[in-house]
Amino acid sequence: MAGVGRHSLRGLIARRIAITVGLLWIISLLVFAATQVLPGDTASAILGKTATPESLAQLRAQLGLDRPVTEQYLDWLGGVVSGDLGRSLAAGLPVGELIGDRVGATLVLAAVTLVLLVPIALALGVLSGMRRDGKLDQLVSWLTLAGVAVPEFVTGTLLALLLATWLGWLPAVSLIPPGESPLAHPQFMVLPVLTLLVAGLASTVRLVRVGVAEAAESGYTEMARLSGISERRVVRRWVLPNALAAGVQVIALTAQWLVGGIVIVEMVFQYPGVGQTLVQSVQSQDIPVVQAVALIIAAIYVLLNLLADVALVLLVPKLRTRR
Amino acid sequence: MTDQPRPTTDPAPGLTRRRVLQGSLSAGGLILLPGVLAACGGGGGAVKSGATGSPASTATPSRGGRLRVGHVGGGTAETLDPNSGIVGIDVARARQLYELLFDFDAKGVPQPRLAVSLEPGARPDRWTLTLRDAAFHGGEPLTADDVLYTWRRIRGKALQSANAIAAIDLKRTRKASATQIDVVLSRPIGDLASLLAHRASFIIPADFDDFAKPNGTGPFTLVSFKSGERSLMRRNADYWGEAPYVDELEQISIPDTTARYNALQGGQVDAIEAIEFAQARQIGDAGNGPVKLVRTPNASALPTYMRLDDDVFADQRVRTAMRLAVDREQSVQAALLGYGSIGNDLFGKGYPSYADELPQRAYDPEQARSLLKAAGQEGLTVKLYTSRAVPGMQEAATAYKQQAQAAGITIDLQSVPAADYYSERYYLKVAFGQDQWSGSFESTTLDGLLPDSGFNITAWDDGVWQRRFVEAQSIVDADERNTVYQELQQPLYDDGGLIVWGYVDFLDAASSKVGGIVPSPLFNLGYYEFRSWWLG
Repeated sequence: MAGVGRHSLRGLIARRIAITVGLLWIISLLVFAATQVLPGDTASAILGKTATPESLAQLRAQLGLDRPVTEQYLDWLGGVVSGDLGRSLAAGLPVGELIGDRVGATLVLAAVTLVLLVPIALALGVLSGMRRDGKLDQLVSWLTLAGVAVPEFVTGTLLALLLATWLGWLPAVSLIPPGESPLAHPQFMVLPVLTLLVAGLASTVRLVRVGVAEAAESGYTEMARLSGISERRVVRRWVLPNALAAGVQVIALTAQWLVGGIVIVEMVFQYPGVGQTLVQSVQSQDIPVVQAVALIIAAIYVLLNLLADVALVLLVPKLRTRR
Repeated sequence: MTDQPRPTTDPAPGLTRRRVLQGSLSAGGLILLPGVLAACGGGGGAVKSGATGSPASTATPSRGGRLRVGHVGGGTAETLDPNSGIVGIDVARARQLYELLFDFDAKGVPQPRLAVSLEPGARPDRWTLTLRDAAFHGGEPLTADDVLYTWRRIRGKALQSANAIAAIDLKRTRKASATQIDVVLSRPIGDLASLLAHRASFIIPADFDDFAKPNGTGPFTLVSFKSGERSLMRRNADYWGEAPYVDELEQISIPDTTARYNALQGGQVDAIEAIEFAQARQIGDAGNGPVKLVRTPNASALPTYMRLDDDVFADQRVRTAMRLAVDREQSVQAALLGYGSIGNDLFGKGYPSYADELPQRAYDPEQARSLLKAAGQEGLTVKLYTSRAVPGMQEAATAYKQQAQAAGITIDLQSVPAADYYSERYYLKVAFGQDQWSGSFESTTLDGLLPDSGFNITAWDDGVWQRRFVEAQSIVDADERNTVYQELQQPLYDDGGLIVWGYVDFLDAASSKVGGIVPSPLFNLGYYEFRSWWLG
């Protein structure tokens, strides 16, 4: 049984990293291609209705849009690799400078959501999974089903209506003063986090619940119970470790889902994050910003995947031997 | 602060046509109005139409407080350069920090602001401009040099107002004294004041270039600014005119319409621009709740245009038939939920130069049918290009399609993605399409009906008419000039290519404790004249 050693573990991780780099390159191609097929181009977006053929040609030349596409792509890729994300066409500032704060604000929102979501999801998932079809399980099932069915922008709007407009407990819009950390203004984070939690919990609780229920009803726990081992010990020794493996995947999935869900929630509450920037830049066809944000979001997604894979391999020995 | 090259072809002196900044549209060389942002779902309703403007202002004016305004915003494209702002919020900020020589009042008539007087010479190609005794925030007095520098900068860099002041001969225009300029024009213009009131021709101090630290003569001074997020201003203690009521002004970019509305409802801001038709209906016209509707009638025209050089539309009888085939009242209800009024196939409704006397054209499918028969076009089928680029546009097209059936006309709708509608692929290329225009007869004529107009959507090329218009421009007396302008609208009414079925209102909202808002057809929120607002 070769292959369980340190060497192959390192090899496996190296292989995963190589795949990740390859993926990121493919993503960069896709992002670039996607921005090329957007209706209109940056020049016509800037000039809008006032465009004349002459002014369009002039602006395209200034922006370098008249060069071959491959040349534009290679230029851009070269910049990205060396840490230069280009210049915003609308603001005329380096993209990095423009979105730095916003990436931070988005990460804070994602982190706060995750920190709250993971323990709640695990607790609810284990409790309802252990007593399948019990009262708690049925309640959780219904609630999570509803949560999965309702999109974030509806949840967010309803929560804002209830907690901000009607009850007046919270601000409806997250108007965080420029340059300040969202953590310094917790009142502005409640509604966005709550909205993400409602949507996030729905899917994660269901995943954990299924994992726990499967473990709780599997042959080996059955066998353990029949051997007279106490339920408490069965749960601790066999059910929870298996649920934990599911948990890692759940965290990774949730984190990845958050990256997308945040864009919508940021728009609903005008939270000054990178998702809002993405939407605005698409509208103003500020292509360098769109490319940078899309690439950052994709990179986070892929990296989370990598981390989850590695963690899973470390947690579940069986995976290390599989070829 | 972008000095991003932004070549503009804006040919529009004076009031100009503007485009609504709606979701998928983006910045253009023209300043974009927040306008009416509505996601309306058709279906008429019993909404009072034609109710005018401002809800009663609250009690008596009072001083102090911080006025917080939620704008549509322009993301990272927002700029503090007063001569090159694109989006509504740029105009809204520039108007607090800087001032124009003349400024349009709520009726669209230019009134002196930094100018004290503007007197014509023997012929109206020479004028004497006298400046007010005012000072910049830095303490420097306003002089003729500042005005000349501003004009040169705008023209040299082809900024927003370059075409508005294109007739000024900068080589021969001279400073007469510290506060007086002898203006020389390349051709006689009777209404120079309107051109000097162009919305982005704010006067900056001579040799000024640090736009991050604004130095204007305006009623507010800047405290802080972050593009795409917010700015804070303080009352200018040394302002030459009537000082603002409020101590501070905070302008916040809230692009999402629902979020902007929620911020007002939740008391996070005191006023917001550009609400949806449905939100306006929710607030109601009565305005006795905590939030009131600020409604500006006749804000912009929604025309359907026919190109006169098209095979089918070249026939005047066909054009008239198409104009008779639209049920204007129903379209205003269906497409604008009643937040508008019917049009009479002419631009500039509500302005002093508008030809009010012409009979209102009404829905008459029978007459349309017989005109088409006479033209040999019975059972006409035409293709109408439409889009969601402007709220209500697509709904109006759908309503028109149904209305025209009664005249035996088949209208095939060709829907174009909003982001593509004004692209070079479609705009100014199609024979039958829709658009949105604002401004008076004279400003829209400069934009769309002259040989050098950039937006001749109807392909109008009546040389005699065009010469008469240019002659009329040189008339100094406003009443006399407007009379000729009105006469010039008769041929457009009879033979033109526009079907102006309706005008849409600007719809804004404010907390009921805000007073002093006077709606203006120029921009949302009473052309952002915040110095006259107060918090009750």
